[in-house]
Amino acid sequence: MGPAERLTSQLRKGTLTYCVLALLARRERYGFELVRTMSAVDGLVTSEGTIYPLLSRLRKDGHVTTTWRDSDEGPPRKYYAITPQGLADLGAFRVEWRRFRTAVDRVVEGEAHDEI
Amino acid sequence: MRSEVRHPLAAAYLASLEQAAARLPRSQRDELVAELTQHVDAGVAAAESEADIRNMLDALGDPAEIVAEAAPAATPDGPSGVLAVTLGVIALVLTLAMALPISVPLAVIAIVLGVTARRHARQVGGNERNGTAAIALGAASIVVPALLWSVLLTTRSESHEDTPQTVFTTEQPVPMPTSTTMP
Repeated sequence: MGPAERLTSQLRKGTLTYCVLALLARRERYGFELVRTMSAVDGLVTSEGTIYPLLSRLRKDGHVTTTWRDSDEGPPRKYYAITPQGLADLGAFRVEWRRFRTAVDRVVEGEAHDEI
Repeated sequence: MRSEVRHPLAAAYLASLEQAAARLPRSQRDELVAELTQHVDAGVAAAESEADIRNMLDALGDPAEIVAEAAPAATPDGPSGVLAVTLGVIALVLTLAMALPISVPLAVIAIVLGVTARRHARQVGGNERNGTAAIALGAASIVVPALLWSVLLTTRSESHEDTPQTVFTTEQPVPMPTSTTMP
């Protein structure tokens, strides 16, 4: 893994949890659907399978709950839904992320004539 | 495609996953395998060609990597577990050889290491056998001599209580005074 890939990997590790929570905040989803939605966003996910251990951790931490629902298209599906605690954490992340993103952009993308 | 007769590629992937997940604690392993099985079956059902299935499995990623995400690889209870049991066995042997000044401190170390090993095993999802065995061995190495010592103490104190009685019960011949001393 080259240095650029390592960096992206670190960034990804820190934020993937909140990307999952943000998708679940909109509506509950089942595993396959959630994974497919995330992998549709270019550069977000490398190994789709690792989302499942992440979901398991989120459930154990109380950020999501799971429910089985019958499906017309096959066997019952396990749906993931966000909890109030998950929403609270997502909200806190949003604030921090915006601040951080703005700060990094300001320094990295700043014009030569800026004050820093 | 029906999931009862699984596509060979899917079956091979899931077999590889089960193998990689063997080191996880049972409930975690079962959950992970069940979820990925559902995913693979849904992916196969949605696939329109074998290439689709291959792409789906590639996108899922290496089973070893997925299992590593579930629980970082580590020895089940760390080297301290094996060390703890070894010290426990040595402590017990020394106890039986009555080398108490060495066996007792060793037993205490074995117990401490055993507790640490159990805690570590719980965190990484390994088994706590070694830690538990070390604690048991260490405890035995302390309790057995302690019991023997207390039994020894009680029998010693019992024999001390007997001695005053023997003074009174033993008949000592009292020398008779001679007639010359009598008034």
